[in-house]
Amino acid sequence: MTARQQWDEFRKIVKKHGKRYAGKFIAMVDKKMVGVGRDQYLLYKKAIKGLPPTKPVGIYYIPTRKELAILLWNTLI
Amino acid sequence: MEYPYIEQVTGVHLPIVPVQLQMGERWFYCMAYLDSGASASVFQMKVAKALGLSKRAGQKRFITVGDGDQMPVFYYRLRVRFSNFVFWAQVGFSEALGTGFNIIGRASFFERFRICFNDHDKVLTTLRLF
Repeated sequence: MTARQQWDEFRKIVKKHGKRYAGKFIAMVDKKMVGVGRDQYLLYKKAIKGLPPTKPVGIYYIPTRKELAILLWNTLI
Repeated sequence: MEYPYIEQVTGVHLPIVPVQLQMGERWFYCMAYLDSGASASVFQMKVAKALGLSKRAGQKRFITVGDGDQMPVFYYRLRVRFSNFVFWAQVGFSEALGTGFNIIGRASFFERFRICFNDHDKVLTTLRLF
């Protein structure tokens, strides 16, 4: 299972459940969604429980409506 | 590589792409908004916590954001996989990041890839430069 395959699966979840999970993080192992929550650290800790140390875990955020129109900009000083 | 924009609400598309960070043996898969106006990348501090990075090991710097405020960011050199290519990158983490998603800026990323935003077709294309 490649990162790309997991990403494609995530995109399907956003399309299907974007409104329901807006503002939340989802955890994915392989192509499966294994958790939803507002704290990505806790979600990650839960998701890696029982997994071998080499198994990748995906934590993805579903943006809220407010975050759809944004001005991002930063300059190092 | 081509990355179709994420469509959260019908008609609103965001150039959000997958990116992976390595800590120890495990790869942490996450996502980031590609921001060509940002000089550096800033991720959520909770990602640093998940990766087991301590604030003391990072280099504290301040960045100026859109409204003129300065945001403290802790920078680390991390192994990153982006667009099927693994490399060392300067990645910053901040508790003050106001968006839920992470931000990929120019440093370390735009130097290695030609990145094209095609807002007409809602597709982002990356081409490795070396």
